[in-house]
Amino acid sequence: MGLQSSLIIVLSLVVLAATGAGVSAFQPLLAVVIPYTVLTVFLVGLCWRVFIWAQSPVPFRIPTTAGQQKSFSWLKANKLDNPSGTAGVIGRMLLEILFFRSLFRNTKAELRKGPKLAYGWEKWLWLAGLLFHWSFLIILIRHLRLFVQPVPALVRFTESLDGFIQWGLPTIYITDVLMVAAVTYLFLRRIVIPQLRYISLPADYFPLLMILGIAFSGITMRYFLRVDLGAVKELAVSLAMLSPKVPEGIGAVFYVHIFLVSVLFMYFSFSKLMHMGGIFLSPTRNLANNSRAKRHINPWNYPVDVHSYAEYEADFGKKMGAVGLPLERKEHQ
Amino acid sequence: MLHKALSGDKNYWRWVTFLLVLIGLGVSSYLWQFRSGLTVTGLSRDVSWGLYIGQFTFLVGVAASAVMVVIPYYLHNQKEFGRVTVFGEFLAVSAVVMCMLFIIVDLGQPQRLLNILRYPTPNSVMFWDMVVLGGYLLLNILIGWNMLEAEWKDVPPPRWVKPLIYMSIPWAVSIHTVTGFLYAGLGGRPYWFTALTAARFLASAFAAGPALLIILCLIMNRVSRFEVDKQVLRKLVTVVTYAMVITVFFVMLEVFTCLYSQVPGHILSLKHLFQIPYMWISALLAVGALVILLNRNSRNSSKALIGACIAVFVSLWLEKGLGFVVGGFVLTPFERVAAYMPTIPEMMISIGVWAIGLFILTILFKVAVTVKKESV
Repeated sequence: MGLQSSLIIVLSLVVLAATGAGVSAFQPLLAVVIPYTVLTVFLVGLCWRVFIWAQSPVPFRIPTTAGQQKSFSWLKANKLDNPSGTAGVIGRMLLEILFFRSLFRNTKAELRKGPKLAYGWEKWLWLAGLLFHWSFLIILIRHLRLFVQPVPALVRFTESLDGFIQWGLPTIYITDVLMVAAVTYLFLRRIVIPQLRYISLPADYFPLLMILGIAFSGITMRYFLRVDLGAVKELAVSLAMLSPKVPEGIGAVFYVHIFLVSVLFMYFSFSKLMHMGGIFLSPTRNLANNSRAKRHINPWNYPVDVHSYAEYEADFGKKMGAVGLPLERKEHQ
Repeated sequence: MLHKALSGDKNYWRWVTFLLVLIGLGVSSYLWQFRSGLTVTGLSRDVSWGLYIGQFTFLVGVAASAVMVVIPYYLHNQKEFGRVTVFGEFLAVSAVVMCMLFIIVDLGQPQRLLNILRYPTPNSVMFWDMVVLGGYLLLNILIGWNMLEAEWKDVPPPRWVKPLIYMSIPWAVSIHTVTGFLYAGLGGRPYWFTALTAARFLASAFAAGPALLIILCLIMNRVSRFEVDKQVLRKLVTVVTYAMVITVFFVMLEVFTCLYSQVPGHILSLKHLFQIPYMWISALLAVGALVILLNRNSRNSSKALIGACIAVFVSLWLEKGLGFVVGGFVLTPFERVAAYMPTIPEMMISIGVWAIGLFILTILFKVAVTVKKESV
């Protein structure tokens, strides 16, 4: 059900944009008004949600631990999987964000004959996820060339590496192929594996289909139904300079592409795509596991009258000493 | 399973860091070569196959030799080999990766790499070399990984692996045969133009590869207390000994045909080859290794055995990785000797490729050793 509705939505978005692109009155709407609106919603939404999350109190240290905690000097602590200080936390976050460390642990249980339960390393999700995210990042960096003049050296270097295999004209980009392959895998696994299909919602299918749609419209624009790149750059620079001007005759595919991107960005801060910001704020990852070394006091504890043992001993030390009970401090005797 | 490679002692990380540094040096040298082209190497119009292709040829042999631990286990039911087959397969994986990288760095226009798939030319041996090497890499990754994973999970391996294993045996022979054909079909190069080339390649591969595997087993025993059955080592030594004897025999056959027939080109190439000092080193090492290997007492002493294995490996590396390709190429069809000397970037790139191979080997062996030690 979720799959069909997502597919219908994405397809109707494509049709909508393709129709709108043909009407010159709609072009400024698709190319200027919507992107600006979306960018505003995206930035405000992103900041807002991060702001809300940042406000939620984290009074205790609740990191998930995946290694030996810092303890005696003769026990080897795992600094990255169970960090005890800021450096370790930074290392852990870097591993998590750049290499998806926790997904790397993904295992799959299988029931074999016997009966026997076997656990195996399930690497494909990690691999496809990693390939997809890195490809997406590189593609975004490449897109900077449209908004900036002169094109920064970093962007040109990325492009030359990405287009290393000079196949076709314009040359094929490795990340394009990888991204489509990875997203297709991520999409198919939701359909093919029954358990995953059962737990998949429209909110899972929709972003995947949108990303596939964006990728396909981009690839179509680059290799098949070419658009006027000079005009696209003119538009992009004018958008970046905040003095938008829509050149004539860019080509309908471009409008489909930019509209799908707009919708995705619009959707971004309301959806699970917010994991981009959320990953930095996950208290199970970004806290040092130092609960044993340092006392963390809940800041909104109401005052409780406590009678600590030290006070107790100070009060009753004499009597305790008299009946021969061991005392922590001699002077209480 | 790969996470087993993420924890290790200090020496393990030192070794990995060392390899990464070498890889970094190699990659930066390669970027230099990529920018300026093959002009940074010692290659020229007359000598277009040099250090890179020599290393490639040698490593195809190392890759093919995995079959020497696969055959006893799967065809002859020698159970004790079960503990080392996966190491043979992983050795093959890293060797084939190195082979492919040596081909890529030898391309003046690596951007056109995929042209071999886009414009397949079945009448070219190079095309078939790509097919067999790619297939062999895939076979060994699939077989090695799935067998090891089954061991880790303590379940029988997937059924489809068995046919692949049987397929990998002739396939291993094919990769080195096709590599031999690259040379044996060239009429203008007398040293290569012999029907014996592929057979010689296989013989020397089955000596050098298992010799390396023995060395690796002893290193693993040293660094991780991973015990390889003495029986297995002894059988591998037998393989090395026979293969080495056959290799030397084949070389002698070549020498006989060449000298007795008195064909001028052939004599010239042989004469030229033995003017190179390292060919004499290679010959001396081969003789020394044979003396140790053929003598039962020395063969059974582990120190002498290591010496013999290193001697076999180095001797064949000099003979095949440097002598055969370079020595055979510098003599042009016009019977002139073209100058060729590898340049520093060329050597750095080669070291970088070796480092990548050793890196892959280290990771795979680390995973395999850990799994095997845990599953006992």
